[in-house]
Order: sequence, then C-alpha cells, then structure tokens
Amino acid sequence: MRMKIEILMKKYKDNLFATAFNICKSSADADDAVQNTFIQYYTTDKQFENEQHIRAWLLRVVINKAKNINISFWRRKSVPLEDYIESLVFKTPEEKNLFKEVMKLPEKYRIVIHLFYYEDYSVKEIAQILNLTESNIKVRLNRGRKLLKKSLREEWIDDDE
Amino acid sequence: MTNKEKYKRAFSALHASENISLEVDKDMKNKRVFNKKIMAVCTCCLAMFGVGATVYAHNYQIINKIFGWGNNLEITQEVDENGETSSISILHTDNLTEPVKIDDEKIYFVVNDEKIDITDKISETTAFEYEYTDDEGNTHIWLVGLNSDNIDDYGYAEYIKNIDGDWTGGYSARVNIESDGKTNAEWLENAKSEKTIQW
Repeated sequence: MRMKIEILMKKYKDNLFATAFNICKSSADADDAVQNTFIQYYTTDKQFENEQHIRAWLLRVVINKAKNINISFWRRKSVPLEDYIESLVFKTPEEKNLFKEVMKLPEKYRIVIHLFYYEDYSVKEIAQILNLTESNIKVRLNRGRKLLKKSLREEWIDDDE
Repeated sequence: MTNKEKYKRAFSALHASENISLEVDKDMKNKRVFNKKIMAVCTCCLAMFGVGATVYAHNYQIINKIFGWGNNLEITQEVDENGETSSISILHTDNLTEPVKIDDEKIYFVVNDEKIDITDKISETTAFEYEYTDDEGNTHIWLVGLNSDNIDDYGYAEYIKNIDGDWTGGYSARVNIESDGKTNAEWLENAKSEKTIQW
C-alpha cells in the first residue's frame, strides 16, 4: 500500500525533523534530511504493508540522511545549538533542561533514547530500525538513561524496565 | 509525570521548517533538481568545496573525476565560466564496505588485500595513516583513529591529493562535525593540521 505524500508530510514532518535534529543538532541540516526523505518516498515505487511500516521506513531513511549529513564535509551554515535552543519555546525550565541534557549525550545513545521515549518504539523495533542487535540497543538505552539520571537527578525517574 | 511524557513535552518544541515542500522553486530549479536527482538515485551524501552550491546556477565544465574507496567516493573537479574551480565529493553509500574491521578485540585496517593490525597504532590523539598512489597518480591518504577509549568507537577518513599535489576532496566517517566545520575527533584534526588539509 501507499499513502499520499501530502498526508505523510502533514502527519510525520515534525517527528522526522525531531529525529534528524537529534542526530544533526542543526535545524537547517535536519530540514534537508526531512525534505530528502520525503523526496525518496516520492520517487520510490516501494510498497508498504501498512502505515506503521511506512513510519518505520521514513524514520530509518531520515536517520540515514542525517548521519550522511554528519559525515559529509558540506553542511549548511546554521545557528549554534545553544542559540537555537534559546529560540525554542519550552513550557517549563525543566523541559528546556531535559532537552539540553539529551543533546549532550553521545549520538549513539541519543538516537536510541529518542526512538524509545519520543517515538514509543520497543527495544526490538529500535533494533530493526537501526539494524543493530537488541542487546546493543539495551546497553545504549541503559547507558543513556544513566547519564540522564546523573545530570537531571530527581527530574529523571529510574525506569530501567 | 513519566519520563516519556517529560521527554515528549520537551521535544515537542521542535518543528520542521514550513519551507519543506516537494515544490521546486523556479529560481532554485537548477540547484534543487540536481540535489533531488543525486539524493534519489544514489542515496549518497553530498559534499562541496570552494565555490559552493551556487556553482549549479552557472555554466561549468567537468575537468577531472577521481574515484576513492571501492569507487564509492566520487570526486568531480569543475571549472565555471569565471575560471573558478570547485570540487564535489559524493559518497555512494549503497554497498559501502567499511575499511576498518574489529576482530577478537583488535582493530584492523583492510584495504587492497591487506589486513593490518592497527590496535596499538591509534588513539584519541593519534591517527593511523595509510597512503597509496593510484594508476592516475592521485595519492590517497587514509586516516583511522579512536573517538574514545572504546575500540568500537573508531572513525576514519580518506583524502585525495591529485598528481599536482593539490588536495581535491575526501570524506570522514563516524565522526561528528561541529558547527565551525571542524570535527570532534582530535586524532583527525591533528592529522589534517599536520598535512594542511583545509576542510
């Protein structure tokens, strides 16, 4: 099955952006990754099982696009991360603090944390999206959690389920 | 409130640009169509040097093509109507095989039928270097280093110098590039500085 790209863009644009930003730490690069992901969807003839399959595929593609941007020489000029964070609207100082501390995590922990806590994927599903083993994902998730607990203290609950 | 709820609230502050669209702006048509074709067909990453993105708005002539690692790295040197030269490096990531292997707690550099144990030759500040000259006289410099004390956390790069001794392009992998254009890998920045690689 296929879904209209206009519907997918409306529904998943911000999610893909958040995932790409999590890797690139740059809004301009994240926008490029998202745009190129939708172009790839638009130009591929691939058929999907259902909407969740499309969602996982889009996330996998945007992660690869964002990683490719990270390893390329050419990156769009963008405002420093600190300045960009200051331009975002957070409802509470705790939300801003959480955002900042997540962005300080090493990339390999950050993306796993993001897919788990933002996209609600299970360890098994994250392993499939990132093409890694479940045990590897568990290690990264736990290490990321520990670092967040250390920096956020009582603002982060122990939830090593 | 659970961690998930807190996390979602914090990251809901992020929104994609309203400019993301599949529509091609007429003034940017040349550049955007080029980018779209590259991204759609090759699934690659694009790196530009020198003149930059605006080169696609001008007439240009390809003056040389150089291929790197397993022909996955394609460097095109061009000259525009004003005589300015630029290079475009494209890394085709389909079927890309990494030149670094971890085996039994040791790290190896694998290229040209050689498997070199580099475990004791790399660190967070020191890169292993491998150099070879291709049939057309281009010198390929490989650099491998560690981003942390974990052997799995390696990075690598390939830079190519043409027969005239000018750096023409290359790419780095498994390292983060900061907003100032430099990487966060000390081993790589040290090696690039020593070799006067400007990117």
